[in-house]
Amino acid sequence: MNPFDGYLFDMTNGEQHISQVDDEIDNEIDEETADRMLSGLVHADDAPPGFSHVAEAVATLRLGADSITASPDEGFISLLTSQVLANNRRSKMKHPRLSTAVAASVGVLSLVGGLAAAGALPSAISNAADNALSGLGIASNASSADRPTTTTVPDTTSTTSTTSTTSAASHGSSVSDLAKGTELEGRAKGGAIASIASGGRSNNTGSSGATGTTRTTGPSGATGSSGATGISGVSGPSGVTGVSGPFGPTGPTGFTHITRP
Amino acid sequence: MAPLNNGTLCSVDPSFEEALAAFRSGEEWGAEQVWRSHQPRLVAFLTSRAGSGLAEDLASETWIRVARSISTFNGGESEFRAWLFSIARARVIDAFRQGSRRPEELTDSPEPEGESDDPASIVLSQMGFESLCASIRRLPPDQADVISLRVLGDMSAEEVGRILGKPPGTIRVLQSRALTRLAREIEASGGPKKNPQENPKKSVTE
Repeated sequence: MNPFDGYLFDMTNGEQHISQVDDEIDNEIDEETADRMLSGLVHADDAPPGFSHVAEAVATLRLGADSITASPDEGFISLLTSQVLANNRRSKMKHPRLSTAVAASVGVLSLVGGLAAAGALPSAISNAADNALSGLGIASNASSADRPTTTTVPDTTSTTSTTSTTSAASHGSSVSDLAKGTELEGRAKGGAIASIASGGRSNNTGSSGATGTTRTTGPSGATGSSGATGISGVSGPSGVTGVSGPFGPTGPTGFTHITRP
Repeated sequence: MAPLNNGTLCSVDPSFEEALAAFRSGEEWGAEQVWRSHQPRLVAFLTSRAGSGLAEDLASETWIRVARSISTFNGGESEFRAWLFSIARARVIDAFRQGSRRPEELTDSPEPEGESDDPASIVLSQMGFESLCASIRRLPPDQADVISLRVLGDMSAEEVGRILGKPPGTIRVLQSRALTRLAREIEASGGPKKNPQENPKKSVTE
């Protein structure tokens, strides 16, 4: 016969306890009853078989906790409040440093914003700086009204959409409309587009000329950059507006213009 | 009672939130009221987890920790209670880790008290508070925490879950197992005691 029959071995806090298993309480109490019992809602007489003394124990524990009375010692309460006040003083001392850190952050953002307004930063950094400053209620020198706005125009000839950038005078949309139009074709269309895009500076000497030439001349590279908005030094020699990368030289009718250098 | 702005005392007890706000700003009446409202349950919880010999020391340490961090606390009474008992539980764990203090393996230590016909007193006399706390300490720690917080901390399964970092469903499973285990512990220790002299009534002071 196994000498451990009828015994439960368990480890608690590193010590071994042996508890005799009571056949009557072999099964666990169900969760709902346990919850009600711990809430003090199950009287010993109503407890499941084998758990009446547990219900009594819960009642005893509750009564025991309720019977503890708290008589505060003034010295201890004073100690608590002194701790609170000391901590509050330390918190106030930290605030000047926090204010200095905030002021320094605003200063850095203002500097970056100024550089962005002067066009001395790449567009991504410039936009990020402007956004950060506007979040703080500070407008950079280059206001949004002065800046090209970007809108997304669905490309009716492809499954992707293309992005057209316009200046305040809707220059880009004019170029886009012309590009999407079907009145002109081939070299003539390219020349017309280049002429409008470059503000008349282009003489339509693009090398391919058939349906537009891909030019990725700006720092943004993948999406192409062109002289569509007439920013000098950005457009390629052909003057044809850049075409977004995925279309390649096959000459899509949609255009992608990223105008901010 | 809360003092009014003109220094007289308010005849209506302030809410716990008002007392907590006063405690946060370092006013003694607020600290005292918050302490009064939670100290008994806190001591009961610590008695069940660490024994009566350590409970009041650990309670004091808990309150001092609370006072040091009260300025960063946000919430109402339920959140405060959960926070308080979380700190208390951490104090118990720290005390045991230090090795200098171990949970007491209390045996029944009757405290002479007159007999009573009150049914509650009869129950108390049969199964003493501290001997039951000793039975709880023999449970696995997570089960002991659940029983102590649910019964002595007077918390819901959800509140206990927040303190122990477990979902309420897990807490319900744990409390079911804990009660089953507690039933065995009580049975193994001879069942309800027939000692009419043990009574848990005690007064807590700092």
